[in-house]
Amino acid sequence: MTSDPCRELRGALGAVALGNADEAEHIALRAHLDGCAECRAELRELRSVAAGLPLADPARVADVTSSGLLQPSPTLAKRVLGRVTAERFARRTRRRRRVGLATAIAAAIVAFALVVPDGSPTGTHVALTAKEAGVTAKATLRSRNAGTEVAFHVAGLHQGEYYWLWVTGDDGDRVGAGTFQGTANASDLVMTAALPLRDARRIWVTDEHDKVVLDERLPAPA
Amino acid sequence: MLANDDGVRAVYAAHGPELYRFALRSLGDRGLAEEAVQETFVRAWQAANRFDDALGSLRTWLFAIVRNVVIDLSRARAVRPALATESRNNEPIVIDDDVERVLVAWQVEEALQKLSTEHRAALVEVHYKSRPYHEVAADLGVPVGTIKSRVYYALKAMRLALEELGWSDDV
Ligand SMILES: [Zn+2]
Repeated sequence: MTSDPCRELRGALGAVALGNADEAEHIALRAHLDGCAECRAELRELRSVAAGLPLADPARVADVTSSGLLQPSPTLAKRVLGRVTAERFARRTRRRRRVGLATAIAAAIVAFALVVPDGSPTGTHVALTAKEAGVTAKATLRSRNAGTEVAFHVAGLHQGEYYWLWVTGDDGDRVGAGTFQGTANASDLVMTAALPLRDARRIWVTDEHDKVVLDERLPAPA
Repeated sequence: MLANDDGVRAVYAAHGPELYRFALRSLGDRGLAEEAVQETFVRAWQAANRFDDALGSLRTWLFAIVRNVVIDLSRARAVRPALATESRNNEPIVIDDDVERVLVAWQVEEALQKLSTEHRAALVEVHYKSRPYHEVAADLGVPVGTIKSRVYYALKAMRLALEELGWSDDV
């Protein structure tokens, strides 16, 4: 559990990581770091991010956000599928020569049987279980090209605190849908996690201390 | 996971656009970037039985493949001057080691892009524009502590985004 001094020193931690802290911040943080392994580890992590910043061009990021220029053409998905299908067909033809037609047909039937229908366009509705008193949330998950879109309605979080919304895939890896700030009233947010809806198995929210605030399992698609 | 059409569609939906953005960042040519994505999926499908869940994420594996594809396409283009000149207004041609550098730059830009507008603005002002915290705070009419806190959360959120993209501390 992170204690209050850590929280108060976060501004200093960010500034020290970026290399633009003032003398007072340096002194305060140095004294704290000696006794706090958590903040030492965090400083290492943030410094690694800071070291990568000079490689990026923020103007390029702004362009991308405003123009949508960096989206592949909508037909690329079809062409990718076409190329893989062509490869698969070529391999099957080669195999057919080796092992005979019957096996190849069996393989083709298995491939068709594995096809599952797409998620419903109205979305999957979920009420999340609160791990903290007074918090309520529900979500609607929809399948999008970019992954799983989460329309999120939440109330009862701490005003001004930061939260992370996560979706866990069937491989057990968590994928961040984004960060948001708690508000006194209910708020509605739309965020997207970069994994397909059919792979999503859990939706959950953590607070600034990585503590789980809301959690719900998602049923595997039929 | 790439064994049938739905598998390919799902993997493309999850990772296709970001593979494309990385390829475009490296190659500076939309057509070539789309070719790189198609080639990546073909190679991934061919090697699908070598993909081991336990060793790392699907994304990391796909990025290892697209990196090689980008290097191959860069080499091919380097010996075909006509193609290279077509994109002279975009990015320089990258080969081998450069691909690593572009990969890191692209990861950082993806992470920057995922930040909220407020968090990104705070980081851009105090880091990229080297402006003092108090000046940025005065401009926006918020306390200095608020700007410091936004910068901290910007770095923290970028860290999480970068870890998802396979960020490693030894770069
Ligand atoms: Zn601490």
